[in-house]
Amino acid sequence: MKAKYLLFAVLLITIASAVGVAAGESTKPYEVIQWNSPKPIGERIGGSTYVLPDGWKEAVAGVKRIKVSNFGALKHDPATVQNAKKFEELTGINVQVLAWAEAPIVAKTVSIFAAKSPAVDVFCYDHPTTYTQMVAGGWLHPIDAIWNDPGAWELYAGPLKEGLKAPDGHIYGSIGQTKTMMLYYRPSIVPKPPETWVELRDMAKKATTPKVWGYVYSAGGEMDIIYPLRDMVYSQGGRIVDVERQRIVIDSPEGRNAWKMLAEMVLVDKSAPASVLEYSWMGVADLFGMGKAAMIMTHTVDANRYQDPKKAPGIQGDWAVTSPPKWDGTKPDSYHASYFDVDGYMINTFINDRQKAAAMLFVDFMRSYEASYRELIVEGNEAAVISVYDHPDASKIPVPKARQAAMKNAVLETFPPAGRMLTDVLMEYFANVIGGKMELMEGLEKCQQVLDDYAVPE
Amino acid sequence: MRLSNPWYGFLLNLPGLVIVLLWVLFPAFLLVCWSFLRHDNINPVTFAGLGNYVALFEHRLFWLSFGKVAVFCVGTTALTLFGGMALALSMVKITRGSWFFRSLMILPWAVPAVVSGIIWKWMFSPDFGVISDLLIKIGLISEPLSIYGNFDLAMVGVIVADSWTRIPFMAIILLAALLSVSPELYEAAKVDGAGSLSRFASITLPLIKGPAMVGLLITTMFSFRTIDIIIPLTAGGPGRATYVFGYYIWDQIIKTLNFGVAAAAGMFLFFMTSLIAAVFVYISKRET
Repeated sequence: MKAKYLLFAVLLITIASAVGVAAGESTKPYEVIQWNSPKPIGERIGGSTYVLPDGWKEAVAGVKRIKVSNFGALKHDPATVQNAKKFEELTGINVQVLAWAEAPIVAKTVSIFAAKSPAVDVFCYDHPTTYTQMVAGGWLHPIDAIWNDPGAWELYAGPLKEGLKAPDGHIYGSIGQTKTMMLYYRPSIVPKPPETWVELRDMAKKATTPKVWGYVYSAGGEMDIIYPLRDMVYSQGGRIVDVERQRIVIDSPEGRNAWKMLAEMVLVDKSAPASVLEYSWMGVADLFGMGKAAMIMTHTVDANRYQDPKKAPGIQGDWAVTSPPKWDGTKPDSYHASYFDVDGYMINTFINDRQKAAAMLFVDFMRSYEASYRELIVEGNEAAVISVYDHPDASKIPVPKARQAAMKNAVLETFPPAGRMLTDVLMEYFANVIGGKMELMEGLEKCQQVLDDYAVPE
Repeated sequence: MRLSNPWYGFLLNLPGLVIVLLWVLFPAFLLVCWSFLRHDNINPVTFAGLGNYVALFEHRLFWLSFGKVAVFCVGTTALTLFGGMALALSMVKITRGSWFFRSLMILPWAVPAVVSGIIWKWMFSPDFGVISDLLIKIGLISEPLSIYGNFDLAMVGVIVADSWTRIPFMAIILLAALLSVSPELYEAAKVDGAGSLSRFASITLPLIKGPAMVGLLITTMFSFRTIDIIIPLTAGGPGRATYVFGYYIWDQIIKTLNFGVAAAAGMFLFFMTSLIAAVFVYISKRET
């Protein structure tokens, strides 16, 4: 009888322990963090000084370091370095920023994920072409909790919310800085900047001389042709991603106009060189800086280097900016639009739960007003938090108002999985047209066929 | 343990064997396995049988890239052989300060392919490039040449850039072979009235054929899988004019994350390089 009681007691203790352990495990360390306390998220991260959420200390107990990948060398990213230091001061967690060259960054990221490795905690990423792909791979840790406040979204540009929402309804990404483009021109050649693409085409023809091209765009490297196509499609109110079908669509009325105008600038007007087929977006920006183009669309941050005589010797005292053109006079002013990109962060799902808590805390800090301030003022990048542009210090960076205006109408589209491969199809067929291998619209139609046939797994 | 004990040799080789097992054989085994899986990082991983191979052979870019890599391979190997031979024959004639010229010769070999790609991209740039500028100044062309933006010239430009990094390796192999040829053979041929061309054809070529075959084999196999120089130069373009097979595999892994098809393509690459090696070995054995 005694043995029976003993057996019963052991069984009871075992069950109780198991339940206890299970209950303990059910609350993950990162779930202990109260993101909306001591203030709602929007106020906590939106003030001039970042405020840590309650419960953070308990959640990250024992975490000494997190590893974060970074686009390029750190000497070009002083704001990132300062933000990492500030985060360490606040939390005691060292941030090891991994300076990865830009070209192989996706390859490195994919390799680490494919190996299910916890080697890197937080990855930087280029949103439009990478996000859904990484989500589809099941490689990212969902971070809905840090976005759980309507006030948080109000800090950022409008398109961000839809852009970060993955097809499964969760949020896996956060924002660090943003990118968009504006029109750069040489007042000595183009005294009054064009308001529309139709005007721009005409002005480019007149501006072209043996030494200067009227308008130059990129159609050479990976992803490059997508920049000018997007600018022109958005300027007509169109979109290139069919979200329902998860396809890229270029054979639309807006796409046809854009395709035709870009090709005819080279083939008919001769206001753009045939060598657009070897230009990357960086090459185009260099060309303008050397004084070989009258007008280009390039990133807003390029304004920083164009004021430097060493980096842009050909245009000193002779460059200005304006909003991206809308298509023609019939279009509303909100169509003065280029693309909007999130240079953001995503968290590796293969790291342990305490590392995840620390990583979430880091991305929470990096999207804050304080971190955005450094991105804009220290480094001249576009700030994620829009109100930073209203800070008096914003006047220290080149053309702040034009940059803010460009951000206002910018369009964020998230590509379907294999987005980078699909943009290569555009590059291929556009080159076939410029290279005389196909007729103008034949190239577009064949391109669309390939895009439609592209096997996005069901 | 005695030195004559066979286990001693095995023991000494063990670390190397472990490394080969972990870093070569095990990944190769995984590659074989993955090539039979539907592993596209969207659907659950399932057995696909020969599905990936079928998809591979039905894909238009697979055949396109295969054709491009064949052209690239032949072009690079030929240019490397002729360039290496010319360099080696020049070097063998240099007797004073040869160490300096030989060191200079191998410099391009030390340059990483990606860096070499960037250098050539700048040199061939129609806007800032030294080559266009030079050709215009000497009156050979009137307008800058867009090598990497031209469908017909891009492959030539890529072959030149890739060969530039491979020529030193070939030259070293051939130089070593040339230096091992006895000068007496040339002297005897000279006495018999043989001209320089016939000495080259009858003495030099037969005696350096073996090392040259090794150099050719390595160059062919490496150029068959090249991608690192193409990315900065042309990104496979214009259009797909320089879209070689290595690029196709890269795209399957990095851009579509379709690891199953990428593994099948990897297996095909392995098969092709083995085939190339087998052909070279067969020819070498037949000659000897």
